Amino acid sequence: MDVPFIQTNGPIPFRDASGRFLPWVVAVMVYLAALSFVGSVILGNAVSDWQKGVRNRITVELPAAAGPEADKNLEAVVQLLRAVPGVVSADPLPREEVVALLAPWFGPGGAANLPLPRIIDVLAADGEPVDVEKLGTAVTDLVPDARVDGHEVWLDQLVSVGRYLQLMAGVVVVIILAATVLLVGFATRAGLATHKDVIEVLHLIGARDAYIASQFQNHTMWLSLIGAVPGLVLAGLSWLGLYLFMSELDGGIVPSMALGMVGWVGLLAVPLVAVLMATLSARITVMRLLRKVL
Amino acid sequence: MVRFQSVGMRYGLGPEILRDISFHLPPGSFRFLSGPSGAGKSSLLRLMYLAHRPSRGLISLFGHDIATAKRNELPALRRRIGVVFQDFRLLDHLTAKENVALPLQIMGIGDEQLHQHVTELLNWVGLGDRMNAKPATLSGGEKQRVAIARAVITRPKLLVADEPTGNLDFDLGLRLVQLFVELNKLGTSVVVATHNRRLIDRFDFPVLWLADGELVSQPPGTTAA
Ligand SMILES: Nc1ncnc2c1ncn2[C@@H]1O[C@H](COP(=O)(O)OP(=O)(O)O)[C@@H](O)[C@H]1O
Ligand SMILES: [Mg+2]
Repeated sequence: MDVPFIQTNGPIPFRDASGRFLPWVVAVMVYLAALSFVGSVILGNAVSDWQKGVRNRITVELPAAAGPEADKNLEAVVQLLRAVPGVVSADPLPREEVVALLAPWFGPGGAANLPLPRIIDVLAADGEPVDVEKLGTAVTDLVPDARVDGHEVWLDQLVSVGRYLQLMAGVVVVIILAATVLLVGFATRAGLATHKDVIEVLHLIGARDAYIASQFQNHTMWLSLIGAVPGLVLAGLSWLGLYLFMSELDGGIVPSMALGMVGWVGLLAVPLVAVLMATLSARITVMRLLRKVL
Repeated sequence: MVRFQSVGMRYGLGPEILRDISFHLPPGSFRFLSGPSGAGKSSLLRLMYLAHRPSRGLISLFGHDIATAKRNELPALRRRIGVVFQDFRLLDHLTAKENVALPLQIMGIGDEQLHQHVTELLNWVGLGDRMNAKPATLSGGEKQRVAIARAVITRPKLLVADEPTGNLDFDLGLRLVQLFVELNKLGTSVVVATHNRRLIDRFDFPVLWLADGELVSQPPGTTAA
């Protein structure tokens, strides 16, 4: 290949200290923003898992009673529940399990001789919500003291906590990007001061502001790319670590770690947006400050 | 081509260091600008190459009124003016040929087109073998010639040189001015600021005499006959 006649990277000698910290800053910013974004996606997963998991679980509780009357009521309620469209299963909790649940208060087997409430665990089909209120009326028609719990109240609270945290994560991403823009603005301003003489020569030989701005802009773009790539890779590794750790655990509350299509696109967009904003910030800063010189 | 009418100039809020300057340079003219140190020669040239705005008066360049020209019209005007700065103002991290190519580069002219032009010009100023040298390794005279090559690479209509012979011995200074005369014959208007009277006397060009910020009709220090 031919050696190009002009080999320099540009007329402004950027090999100075003012830009050296930029890749580090951008790396940290992208890392934090990407993790916040991943966190927000995982929270979103968790919220919808919770919503789904709890929404199709209904608990029916019959008051403590003993005797054939109680057994008959229980059987009648179970039959009623199983006949409701959308109900997949309705199973009374065996008495031993209720005793075991109460063990912390009454000691092992301590509740065995007490009259105990009867609990029926109802599972509804996905996507076919069961009207808890109507169900409640039907059940109390049979057993006036029965309680039907669709878990809405604490579900709603949990969901709004989840949504709030998601919003916070979004705000954090925005703040980080804004901080990056500000920092690049300051660095560019310092760079303009450092290279004042060269810029004056460029102006006097006929350079347009846009030409000078593009020098700063390209320089900033490279520096931020140099930072953004490792920042993203580190964020990806952190997520992978969490993913592996979480898949060791199991249980209902561990949310899905999958990012999904939107999550992946968004994650890749974080460094791109950061680089784009940094580049634009450099350009706008230069154009704005040069307007003040002749 | 260049017209000054009652031009005054000051730096910031300081005193007026140019007062009531009026003159006209027709296309293709050659002028020396002379006067004692501190008279305002460099300042006058700064007005001419659009590094500074006048504080009053009218300056017209290539038919454009400088006072009313918009900022974004200045680059196009500056590209028609070649400047040899007193202290060269070469970019230290660029080689000789890169410095010379710069005015074309900022106009967006590509590598292949630059190549021939830059090489020719550096040969013309006698630096064909120093193309890849950085300014730090060039002598004063060599830097001067790189600065001249950079000033003329765009074939400017107006060439402005501030004390270009300042740190050259007399013969080199003479050769330099002859270079400008050659350019002038090709149609470029030339203004050379110098306080070297011997050099001025070697040529038969009109002289703008400056004394204490004002144009005077004869060399300062000479009494009217
Ligand atoms: N950048 C500046 N700021 C303030 N005063 C200046 C500046 N440049 C020159 N001057 C003053 O303007 C006057 C004219 O200077 P100058 O144009 O350099 O004269 P010359 O080139 O003839 O020696 C001098 O009194 C000088 O001190
Ligand atoms: Mg001077």
